[in-house]
Amino acid sequence: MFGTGGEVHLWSAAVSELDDPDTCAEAWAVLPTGEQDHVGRFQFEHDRNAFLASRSLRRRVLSHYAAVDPGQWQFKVNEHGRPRIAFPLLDETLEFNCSKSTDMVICAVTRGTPVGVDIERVDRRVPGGLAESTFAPSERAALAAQPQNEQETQFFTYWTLKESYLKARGLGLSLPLDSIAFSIADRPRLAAQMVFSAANDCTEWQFALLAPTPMHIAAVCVRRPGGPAPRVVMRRVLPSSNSSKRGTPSR
Amino acid sequence: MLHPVLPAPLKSMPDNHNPAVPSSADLQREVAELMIECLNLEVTADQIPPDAPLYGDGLGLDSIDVLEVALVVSKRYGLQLQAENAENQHVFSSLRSLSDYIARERAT
Repeated sequence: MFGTGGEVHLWSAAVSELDDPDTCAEAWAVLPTGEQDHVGRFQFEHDRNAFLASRSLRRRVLSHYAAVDPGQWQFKVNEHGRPRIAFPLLDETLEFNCSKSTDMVICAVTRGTPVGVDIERVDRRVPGGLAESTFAPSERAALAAQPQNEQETQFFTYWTLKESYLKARGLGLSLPLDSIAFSIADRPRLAAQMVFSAANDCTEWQFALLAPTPMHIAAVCVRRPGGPAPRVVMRRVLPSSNSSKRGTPSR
Repeated sequence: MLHPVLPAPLKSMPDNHNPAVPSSADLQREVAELMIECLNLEVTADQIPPDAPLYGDGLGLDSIDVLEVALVVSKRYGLQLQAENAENQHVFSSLRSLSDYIARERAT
């Protein structure tokens, strides 16, 4: 059964799939009125599309794991805005977490462990001074040692790791980003470890890094004390259908 | 929605118990223009309603955008927007509340 081996399923969809009117109508149709209203409160069309893609993805993905119509799921958020399933609680071990970039939405699913996920485009502009003012000293030093053309990608690698941890814990960005620190290895594979945490929980949380496309970096965090890094299986929700195909497992 | 964590204070911690100082329309416009410039937003200052959310919906800023605005505002107005400030979520809830915060901090 999925989840017993600590696997993470990482589902993805391109926001541009909504350019197809049928796909867009289908995405819209699975949202309850409250979420449809939320879509309409964004000022820019690209934000409306990314939000619609993300909110419909989580419903369609969760319905792969339980016999629930995508439109029937109800969610609740904690004080930091992290959503969880509120109804129907057919399987209380089922956990999910979503993230979106401008053009891609992802949803991670686990059983029996909290999960946090974050995705960014690697060609996004890095705000000047952001690493200097928010990253841990060891991370700033590691970034500075990178060749100039790799520093931006590396910035977003650290960033997604930090967000994945904060989202797995349900904290949002309510902790200072320099209260946790990561080390990243490039070889033999892209791997990351939390090497400092003000909460003293470095060995409890395990991380995986992956590049869903050459233009994206994503980090996945699960709680598995003393365990190995999670095995992430990429899955795709196909437009205009409820079927899926198995993608390439992560590196 | 993720909460912003703001850059560490440069100098002393601001007093969080000051009464709110309403911001002028001029300051709100100035702050709107600052955000438009630093985030390359495709709007004019008039098109940012003072009470519309900056993140979550409305302008649709994400956590990196909010941190960038915090950095630029800190530098421009010489403020100390600090990390772990319970007020941050409120400060960045709208153009008006951000501008009110700047007006209040400049007045002290």
